[in-house]
Amino acid sequence: MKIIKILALVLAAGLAGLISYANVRHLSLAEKLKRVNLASFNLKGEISTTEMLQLEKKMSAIPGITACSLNKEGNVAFIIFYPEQLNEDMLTNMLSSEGKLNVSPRELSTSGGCPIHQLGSSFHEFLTVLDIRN
Amino acid sequence: MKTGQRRNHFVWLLIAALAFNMGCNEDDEQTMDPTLYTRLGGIEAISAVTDKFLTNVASDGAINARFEAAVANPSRLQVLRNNLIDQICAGSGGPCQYKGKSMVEAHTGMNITTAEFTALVGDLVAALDFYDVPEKEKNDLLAVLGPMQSDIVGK
Repeated sequence: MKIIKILALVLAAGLAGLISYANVRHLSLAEKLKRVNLASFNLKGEISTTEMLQLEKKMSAIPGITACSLNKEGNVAFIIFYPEQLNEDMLTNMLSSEGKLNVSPRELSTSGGCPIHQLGSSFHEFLTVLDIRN
Repeated sequence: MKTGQRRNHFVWLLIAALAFNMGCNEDDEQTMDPTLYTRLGGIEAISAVTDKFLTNVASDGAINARFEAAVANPSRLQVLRNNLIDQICAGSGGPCQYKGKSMVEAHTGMNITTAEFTALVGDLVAALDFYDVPEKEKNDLLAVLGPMQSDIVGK
């Protein structure tokens, strides 16, 4: 029983320490910006290079979308957006209506790649959740 | 006698005021030469260019395999985006502090080729062009980021 109490106290102290750290750590300007998500879509239909650029401009101008790019072939689109304002279904509809294309969500690879590791970013995410300034 | 003292005080006040005014003019001249950060449009403009750069990279067949998994995961995307914005902001003289790893540390073991680095720079230039960033600011920014090549390629 005593061990459980000590363990609980240690855990509580650890959590209190983490919460304190999350709330007093220095936030960079970028960390104070709103969170974004990225979504990818398969596009089916004829589209010229000029139309691709026009579609990117139209999509980027929609409130809640911060960036939109199509690949060279014009058959895949990537969109960065504010998840509090938009979701993938809304983006699918917007892409379909703006580009007159057949649009479907695309799955992205989930492992490997650039040196932003899952463990570090998950800890960062956890600190962000504990940070009441956000 | 009192009138003479008053005149002296007036002269000293005048000299002090002129000196203060000259000091202000020097400050004004300094503020007339804004940093690259200010010329780029501050943090909002840098974050817009960074987001466009990230979607360009994700759609670039030459290098997207390096980035796809990172941008697909919201927490990894967030860290990558924050690091890029802070790095551009700090490098251009803005009030940011880059908190990520050094370029050598981050890219060691990845065996990034010159062609991949060139493709990445091309995606950044395309993002700057998308937002009509003037040639001078574009070149100044590339001059800040260019020297990183030796810390990234072939590590």
